[in-house]
Amino acid sequence: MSQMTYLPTYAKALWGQSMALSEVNADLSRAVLSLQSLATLNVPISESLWPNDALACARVAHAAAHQAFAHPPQSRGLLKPVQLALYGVLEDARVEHLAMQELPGLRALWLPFHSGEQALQGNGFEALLARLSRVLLDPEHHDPHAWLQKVKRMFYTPAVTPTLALQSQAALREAVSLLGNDIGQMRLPFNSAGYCVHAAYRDDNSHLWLPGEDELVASTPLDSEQTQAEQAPGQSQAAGCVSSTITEPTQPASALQFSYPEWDYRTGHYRQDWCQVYAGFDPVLGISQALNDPPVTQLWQQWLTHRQSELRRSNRREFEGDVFHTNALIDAHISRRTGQQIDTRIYRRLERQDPTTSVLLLIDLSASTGQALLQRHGQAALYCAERLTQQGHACAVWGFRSWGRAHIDVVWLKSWEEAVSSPVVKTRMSNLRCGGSTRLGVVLRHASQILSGRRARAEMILLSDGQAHDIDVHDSRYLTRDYIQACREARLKGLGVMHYHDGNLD
Amino acid sequence: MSIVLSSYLLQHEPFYQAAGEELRGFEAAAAARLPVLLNGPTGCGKTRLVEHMAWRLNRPLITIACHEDLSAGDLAGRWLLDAQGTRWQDGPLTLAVRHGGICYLDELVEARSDALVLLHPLADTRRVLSLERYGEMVQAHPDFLLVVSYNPSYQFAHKGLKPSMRQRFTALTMSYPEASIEEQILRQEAGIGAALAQQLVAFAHRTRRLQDQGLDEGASTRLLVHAAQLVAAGLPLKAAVLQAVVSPLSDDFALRPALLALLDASFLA
Repeated sequence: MSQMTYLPTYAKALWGQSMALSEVNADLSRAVLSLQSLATLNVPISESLWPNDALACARVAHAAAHQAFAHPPQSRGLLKPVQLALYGVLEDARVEHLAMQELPGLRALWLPFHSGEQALQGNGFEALLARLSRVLLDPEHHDPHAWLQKVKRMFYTPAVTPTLALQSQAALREAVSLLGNDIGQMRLPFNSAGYCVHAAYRDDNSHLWLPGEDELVASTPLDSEQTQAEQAPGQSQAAGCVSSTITEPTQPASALQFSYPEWDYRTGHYRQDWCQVYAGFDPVLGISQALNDPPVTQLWQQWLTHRQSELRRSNRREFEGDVFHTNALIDAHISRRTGQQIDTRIYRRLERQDPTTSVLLLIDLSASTGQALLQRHGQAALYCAERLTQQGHACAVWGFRSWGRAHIDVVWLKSWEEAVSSPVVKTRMSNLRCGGSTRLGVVLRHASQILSGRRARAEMILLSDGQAHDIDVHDSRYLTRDYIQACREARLKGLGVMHYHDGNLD
Repeated sequence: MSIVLSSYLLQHEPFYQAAGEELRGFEAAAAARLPVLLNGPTGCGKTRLVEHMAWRLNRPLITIACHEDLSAGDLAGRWLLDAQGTRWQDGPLTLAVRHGGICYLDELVEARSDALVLLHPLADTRRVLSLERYGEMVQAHPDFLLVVSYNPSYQFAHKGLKPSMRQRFTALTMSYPEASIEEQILRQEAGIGAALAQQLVAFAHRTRRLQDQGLDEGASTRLLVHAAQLVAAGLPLKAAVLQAVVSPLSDDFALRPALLALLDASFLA
């Protein structure tokens, strides 16, 4: 699903709100927006709902409009299925109207799903709802149906530029009560169980109502939504990690053991020998899988390119430079004495300090990272390691997770000596599994100690969601403050620390 | 002011719309002969502020765009070879120090470390420039003012300004101006109407939301001015924004489609 990669970015740009796209294995006819802050758009795994960019963008823009202009979910009360369906159409029109006030290009994005071949003809209730959607989306469109004209007059104030007359939930409810009666009087049948919002880009509107009250939307597959809702903020990427999550330490008995202090911000002192780190190779399971192209951002590429440029050397004769090139000066003097043309490239550039660096990539393997993000971080780490070693730097990749202060795993995924292309490295990287917690500070201390023993300038790149927590720490600030302290210690030792999170480097 | 730098005097007032107290801050630093560090995102008006202040203070402005090969010699000067032998030629920094002008080092952090060290005695109370190869200590002219800029979002672990350098400067932190001021800037710079300026600024604000989505920086005021100028030159709005804003912002495979979709949503075809 190639569209998925840029759609969250698109959604964020529209009204500044985050939207996760979650594929659910269910027979959905329309997308489902989660009730939890409307922050997740559940779409079926089937590719059929994402046939092209136009539908994908239209769907995300519509969901983002709900996010931006939503009323809180309300009780269905005494509203009947006909009125619920009507309410959905009016609410869709309301949020789309508000959205188009800011982004007028959206009308051209949505309108094709209501007009032309996509338009539903007829005078049945569902056809009228589809025609109503068209009329409200494009007030300049003329539909001669008397009831549609009545709704349009109720919905918009009469003006050259139509503005919303129905803005509050109460006003909308009152309107659908009246309009529902009209439908009743027209004796139009309505099969609520088989009803589906006509325009393919619109969601099923189940988020408009408090859950558990009505059979119309009760069949929507909210299992995955509940899973999302139960997760802590920032853990939405963890979807799908259940089967691959590990629940206890897997470190082999041959692991090396280290003790490290931890910073307690409340007392302003270190707790000596507080944490135990076990470092070693993970038992290799399974076989290597093909790794996709890594998610490389501009910033990541710039950083790698910058490192490459540091390696450039020039000791040639130059037109400009820092010091005279002795041989060039002699040649120039000879040329002048013998009446020949002088070669004015008489300088040379001073060489820079040896920039060879040891770079340690530290991948957060904790459960909060989630399997999907972990895979992306693994790919990014491999890509980075490959580029860095090509540039002449030494590079190692470790993973880490914790099970309380007494057991912090540091898993060697690629040692300094191993080649990135080595099958065993690729096997380890393709078998990354999330589990345990994140104790960043002690991992940085361990990494700093190991890097201090290397002669070259050293840097650490932490690939993590940045959420420091562990099962035996209940003060949310404790591990974060320890991490900050550990960063400070590393910098005092001259070690660079950078943080990479799903495409962002800082 | 020496005649040597007369060609560096600005002839016309560069337009600058203040977003805060930066003009007063700059003037005070110039009066107190304290160096100024400007930090802020690209295209937010750092260079334009310096140009405006140079005109306002009636001082010559020597601008140097720093790069990773910029050495102390490039700033201070070097020996040249001519028919009579060797002769010393002052570099741009030495010219400003010796004759009294504003020396503006754009993106200072890009320069090599030997170039940065040269600035230390200039940026503190000594106000001297050491021409080691020429054997001279140049005492700064009273009108000399050192101004540097850097963009914090470009910095990496080993490429930030060290505290020993930062703490020699007075610092003005700049950002993109608030919407109403940014709209005024567009109207002034390109002569466009208020509604158009509002649309362009709203678009820029949306791109600036993407900085935690992999976009290094959102659309700058400079890019908006470019778009407004293209519109003023007759290009349709959407095409102008594509050319001046969207295309220069990113060619990242994940970001560009999102920006193009945002362009479609924001402007009528």
